Amino acid sequence: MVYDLTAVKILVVDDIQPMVKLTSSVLQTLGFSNVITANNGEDAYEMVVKHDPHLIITDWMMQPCDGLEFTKILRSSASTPNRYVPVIMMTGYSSQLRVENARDQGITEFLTKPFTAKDLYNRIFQVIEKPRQFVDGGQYFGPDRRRRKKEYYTGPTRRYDDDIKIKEEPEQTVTRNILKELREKARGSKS
Amino acid sequence: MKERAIAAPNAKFINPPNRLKAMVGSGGINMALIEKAQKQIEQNNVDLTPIIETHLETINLRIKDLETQTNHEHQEDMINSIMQIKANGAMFNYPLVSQVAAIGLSFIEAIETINQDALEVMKAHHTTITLILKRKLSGKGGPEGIILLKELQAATNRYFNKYT
Repeated sequence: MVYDLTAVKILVVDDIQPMVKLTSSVLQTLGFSNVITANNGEDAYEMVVKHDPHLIITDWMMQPCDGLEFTKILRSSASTPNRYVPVIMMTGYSSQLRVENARDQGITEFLTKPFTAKDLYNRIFQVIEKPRQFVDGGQYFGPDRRRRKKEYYTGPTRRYDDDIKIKEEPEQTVTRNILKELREKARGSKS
Repeated sequence: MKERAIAAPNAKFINPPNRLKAMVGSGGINMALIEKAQKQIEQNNVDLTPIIETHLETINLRIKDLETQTNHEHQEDMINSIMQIKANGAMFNYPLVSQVAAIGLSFIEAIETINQDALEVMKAHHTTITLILKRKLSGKGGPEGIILLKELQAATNRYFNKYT
């Protein structure tokens, strides 16, 4: 048995048109047949009100309204059809501080760009199988940013993607090692 | 602030109905489809060079601005452009561009103060990405790519050796 994604309405938001096309076509290949798109946060919110999507994948940096502002409006506005809709944010940023700040706006999951099809699937799997509870704390309404330990299941059950091996090229290994060394040096410079 | 709000005794925890799970059922996505989707990413032939060049131009301008004055907005502008190059290069057949930009982004986000030496490191990244585009080193870059990456590593090492 596999997921039936045909009825899922998914909204993809990015200001780089080729990226919207690529993400949409990858999602269609994965089985989503109802993909709607927008090029910035403002247009995206109109699409939310009009279509009530079940899942949103949005870029962060966009003009005139970015992905964070869009999510903030989505979570707070009375016009939003479903304020609990999962939001996966695509971004090239990976620094802890930026990600934590973004999470404060109500993002459900992050997808670091560039991403593989497996990365995208893993985030979708996460929002389907391990949804976050919501917090209404007066000043903050959004997914609980603390993920409970028991949600990180490391048992023997195999998923479809467990068998997918994306080969690391020599250049990627070099980059990974450089980035690791760079982070260690940066930590050293701050201590 | 937000943490305090969450921890506040009047904070409500809500478990909304899982609409997605109810719609899609169980079992995940077939592995063959994920592999097919991955091939789609690897084989797409959109030329993103003009977008990368626009961001390179922004980086160049902001480096010049930052050489004369410290300005948080210019700094963020430069960081945003290097992030955009990192994010999109590998999605459109320039993985080496993404890797160079990833090193530049990690470097610039890691340092506390952008001084002339840090700007020199960013210039080295700018020059390297420009070179990759000029030579059309799309794909993995091969041995030449590894040399370029190691040169950037040496540049960042020189900075940290001086300032740590």
